[in-house]
Amino acid sequence: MAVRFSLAERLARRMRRWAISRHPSGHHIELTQRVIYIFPTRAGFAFLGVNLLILMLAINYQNNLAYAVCFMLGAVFLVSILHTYASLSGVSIETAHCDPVFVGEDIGFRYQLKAADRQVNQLTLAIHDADLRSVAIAAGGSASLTLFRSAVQRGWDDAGALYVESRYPLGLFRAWSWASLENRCLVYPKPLQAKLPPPLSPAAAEGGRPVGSRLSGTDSFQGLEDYQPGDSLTRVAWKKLASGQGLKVRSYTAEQGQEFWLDASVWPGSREVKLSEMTWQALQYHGQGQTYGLRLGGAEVQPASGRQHLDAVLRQLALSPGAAVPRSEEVSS
Amino acid sequence: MSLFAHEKVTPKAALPGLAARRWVFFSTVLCMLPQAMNMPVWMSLLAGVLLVYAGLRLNRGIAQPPRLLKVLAVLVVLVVTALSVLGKSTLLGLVMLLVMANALKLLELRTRRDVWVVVLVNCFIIAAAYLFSTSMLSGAYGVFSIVVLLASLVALHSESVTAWPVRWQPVKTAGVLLLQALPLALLMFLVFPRIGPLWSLELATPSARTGLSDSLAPGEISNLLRSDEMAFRVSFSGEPVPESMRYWRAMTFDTFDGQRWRIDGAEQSGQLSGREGNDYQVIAEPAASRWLIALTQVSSGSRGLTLFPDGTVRAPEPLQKRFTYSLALQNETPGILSPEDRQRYLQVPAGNPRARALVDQWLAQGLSQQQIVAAILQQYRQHFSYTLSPARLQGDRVDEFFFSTREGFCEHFASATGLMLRMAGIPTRLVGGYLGGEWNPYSEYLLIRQYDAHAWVEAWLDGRWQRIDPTGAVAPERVLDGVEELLQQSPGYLADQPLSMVRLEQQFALLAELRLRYQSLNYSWHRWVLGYDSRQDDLLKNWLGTLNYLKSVLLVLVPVVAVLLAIGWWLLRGRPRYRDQISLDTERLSERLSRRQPALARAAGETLQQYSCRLAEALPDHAGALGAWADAAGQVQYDVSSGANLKLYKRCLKQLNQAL
Amino acid sequence: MQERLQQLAAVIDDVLLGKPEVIRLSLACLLARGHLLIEDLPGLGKTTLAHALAKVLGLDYQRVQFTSDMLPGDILGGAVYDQQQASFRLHKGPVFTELLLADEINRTSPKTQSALLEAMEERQVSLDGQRHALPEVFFVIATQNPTEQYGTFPLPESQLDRFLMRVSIGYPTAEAEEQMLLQGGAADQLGGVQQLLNPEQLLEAQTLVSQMQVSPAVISYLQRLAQYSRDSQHFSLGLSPRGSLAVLNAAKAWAFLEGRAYVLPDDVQQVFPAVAGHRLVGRELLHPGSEHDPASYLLSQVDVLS
Repeated sequence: MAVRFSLAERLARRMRRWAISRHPSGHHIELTQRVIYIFPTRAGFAFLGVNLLILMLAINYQNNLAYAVCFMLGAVFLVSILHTYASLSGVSIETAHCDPVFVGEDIGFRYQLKAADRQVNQLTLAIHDADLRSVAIAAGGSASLTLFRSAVQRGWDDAGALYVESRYPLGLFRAWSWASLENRCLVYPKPLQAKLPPPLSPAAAEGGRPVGSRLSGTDSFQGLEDYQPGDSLTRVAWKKLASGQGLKVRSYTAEQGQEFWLDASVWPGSREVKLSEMTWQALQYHGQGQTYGLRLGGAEVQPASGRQHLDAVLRQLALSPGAAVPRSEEVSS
Repeated sequence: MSLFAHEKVTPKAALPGLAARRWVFFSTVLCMLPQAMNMPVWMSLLAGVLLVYAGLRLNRGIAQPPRLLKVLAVLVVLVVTALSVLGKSTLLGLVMLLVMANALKLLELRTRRDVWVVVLVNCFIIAAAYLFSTSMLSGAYGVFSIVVLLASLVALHSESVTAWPVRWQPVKTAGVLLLQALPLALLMFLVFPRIGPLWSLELATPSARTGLSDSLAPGEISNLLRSDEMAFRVSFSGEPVPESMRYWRAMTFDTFDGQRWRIDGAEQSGQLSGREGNDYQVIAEPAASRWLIALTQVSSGSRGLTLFPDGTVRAPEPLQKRFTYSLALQNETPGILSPEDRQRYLQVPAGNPRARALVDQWLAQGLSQQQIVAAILQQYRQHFSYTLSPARLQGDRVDEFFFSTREGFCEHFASATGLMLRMAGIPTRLVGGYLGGEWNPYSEYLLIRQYDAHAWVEAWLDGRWQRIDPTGAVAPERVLDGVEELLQQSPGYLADQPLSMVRLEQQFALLAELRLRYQSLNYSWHRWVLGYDSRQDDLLKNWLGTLNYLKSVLLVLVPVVAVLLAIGWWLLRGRPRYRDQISLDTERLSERLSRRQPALARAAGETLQQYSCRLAEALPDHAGALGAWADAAGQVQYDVSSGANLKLYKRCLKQLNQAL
Repeated sequence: MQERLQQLAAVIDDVLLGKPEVIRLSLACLLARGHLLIEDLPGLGKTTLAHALAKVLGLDYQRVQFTSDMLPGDILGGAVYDQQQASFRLHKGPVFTELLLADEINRTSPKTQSALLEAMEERQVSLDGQRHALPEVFFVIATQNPTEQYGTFPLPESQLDRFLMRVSIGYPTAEAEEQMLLQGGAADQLGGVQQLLNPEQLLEAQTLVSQMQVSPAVISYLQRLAQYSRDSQHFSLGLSPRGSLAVLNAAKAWAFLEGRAYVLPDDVQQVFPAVAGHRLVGRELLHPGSEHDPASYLLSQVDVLS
């Protein structure tokens, strides 16, 4: 990396790394004095500076009330250390399940926060590359916070170290902690519509299962049927009714029972494009309620339908070799 | 990534909430109000316009002013401030500038940083305000301003705060912070060493107050008599001196030119350095002069006082602010009057032939010095009357007063007595000062007002200066009861102050009581807060003995650590998890039993009934009590239709507790 | 009234041996004006339960066996051409009854399913453009085979929500089964069942249940249960407001059955698995029926006291 860091920055990076390495990683962390750091903010230093000016004023004009203001503010400065610390201490953070997203969408890393037996008035959470978010939690209560970061690469995306801070009550001090919580999210490939229709898999070409019985669905128009009580009004052919042909209902059929295969070995195109197109096709099949399977490298997902099946297929596509490894701390800084 | 990397917040997070902005606005208004009195009217008006606009923007959402207008506003404010600042003291100028800058800044509170700038400037303005006013009211006002200031910071850094004034949580938090900080602040206030000014700065003085003047001509003091302004407050370490002894010497006049007594350019005899004297403490109100008062001739007292050969003291410089000092009571001991002094105190101007004739006659009769004094006082007693509005004197003033008008007040009597004693060869000087004072029983101090001003005579008799008060001969009540009672019927008294407190109090006793209370409080305020620096050394020594390095470090560290520990404990202490009584009782029961056997603790998902059943299985002996308790508790907690039977529940709980 | 209900439960208990819990839940469901979904293998006594309930309550009883070729009209009814009168005559379907046993509801197509479920929800049926209200007492007991079985259309979650409770009867205990065999089956027992309650009394009981007052402590407990299910990472679908309202109603009915005029958290806990079980979707570790059953997990995690 060509960027040169100043000494202070390097020191801070080292401290951060050290801090993270001290914390046990896992799905859960409770913020105790072992992992909470506290330091004045820039505003805090400015406040001290102003206080010094007030002190000079008091000394020069020998004014005891100015002294009193100076000492009052100074004492508040000291006391606020404890308050800031208390607002972070005892908070426990748990990672929550992260719903998979497609490349290009925003990953929502979820964190479940639980306050100790006192109110948390301000708590800010941040992970690398994501907007920070602040919450307040009632005493003994909990709150759920989602940090959004756009998904760039398929595969697992690791949230990285979580930065937690509080500046309550006065913003003079910043109490913070780094929690190396395990929180990762599965990123599916970006769906891309293929230019060509999906190639027939050898299995399908061999005959597979015959086209199943016709069931009423919403896919292709089949013809008109007599209205039956309970039929949806949206499917009534009003024009026919108007022309005096009686109450007719448009009927549709879905091709059901046919099996489709998404087979990487016969799919044209480069690897990533292929994966994207297969993703798109899988979503299409799912939307049509089709039964489909996946063959990808050595892995095979037996044909089925439904939400869970879709997830299984997309998961295979996301994690096919060449997927992103969880990003490391070094790269992210 | 720097240490502050996460301070670079995204714009959205940096935006101060409406609640925070409103609090900051309120805080700024509070800080500006007292300054409006110090600033020229037109500047105050300008600041007011800016504030109103900022307030409307904040509450009504009026649009941002166009850029040109903003630049114009800044220019106007700059020019106006610059013009106003000219001729003002540096500090007032600075404060005015800050006030105006803050008013401008309020117009655009875009980021947290903007809010912080305003808040920090407000901090400084609050402190600087005390250079212009140090009354108790200002003190209280300052505390209020600080609370609101802190509240604005709390609002800025809380997520849970909704817009003001819906929630008072920021004020509550700020109040708690301030209360917790109080012990630490007090400690710092007590022990922080008061060092002299780092560099000299002059502050615009409060307008010169009426005080004793450095010359005395009959008729002059009558102005003072009418003023009920405070002059001095005195407290005694031991018993207060008796009323008849309360002659407060401020200055002596040694030169008389026939019309006016003056202070000859007497050289100061040195600075007081001693610390032995602490019999009484005096707080002097600000005045344009350096005069201080003392009960007796001074030889020891607070350091830094300038001592004069006539035994009076003066402040090192004019009393720009309240000045506190302490002195020792001293017995008048025989001394020696040097020939030069004797000559000075015998100097008599030409004129006043009738007085001289009378004195010569007395001398010819062979009257002793004491007898001459007695003869003069006898004259006063028999033929003179006391009045605040005497006839004007012309020509040989003493002759005219003594033989013709025969009426006057202390100055007239003192002046005549002084001259005649000198004619009789007795070294004499006039003393200007105060007589008496009002004793405040609540704070045990003596309040001396300007109308207590008095003049009397000191004569060198029997080898020492002896006090002679001729006014006492003609109007003993003036000496004994003070001027207030004496003059109540006098038409001139307070005629120009129809709403004077003193006048009102003559009608309402409660008012007098309240006034005394207030003055007592105010006195403590001056003595312990404003004048603390002068008594810091003594106080610390009294409490702690001589300070050494280790002691001072411990003195600071131990209480600071103790206070911080206490606050930390308070903040982090375990709080009861439950709100209602039954839940608390259950938790207590669970804790108690779990100490006996961990498995007996209540699980989170266990209801009262389930828990009591489980306990009954584990402790079959108490099954009855447990069941009764759980049923009663269930009814109190959950039965809304038939009304809770708290008594039954309490009985059950008691039985259960006893059984266990 | 409560005594009568206890007696009623005992009578059914004689028919459906060793399942007092299920019987009480069914009664609670009925009292709370909800509908019951029984999810079980065939032959465990679903029909017997429904029949016994109908008999003791003196309810008009209909049973519909759902099949894959069933159409909405088969349930709801429709206009039938009467050749004698040469006009359309309204034929009311089996849904127009007081107690409907919808057997194996997951065997029929979603379209037919939803026709029934809509009727359950709205307590009325639209036929030929006219609305026909269902009887005031209208109680549906639907049974569903475990979803793994072939040829089924599992009810989607949104439809499951229309059932107040989902219970499963399960195999009888060894003792109960022996007794059942001795007695020669439930069918014989059913014959001897007498009506114990008339529909008016049932309606009155339902009104009493709905008017029962609930203490803030119980309301808070319910809210915390729902909140926890929404916040916790162990649930992918938390309890909806409709779900927590359902728990409340069921708990009231349960308290009523217990002979109490107020609701205890115990009542909530008793009905909770049945009412919330099909409304909660657990994640990873939490599977229905296992020891990590989402509903039981929730009950164990949320503090009853506040």
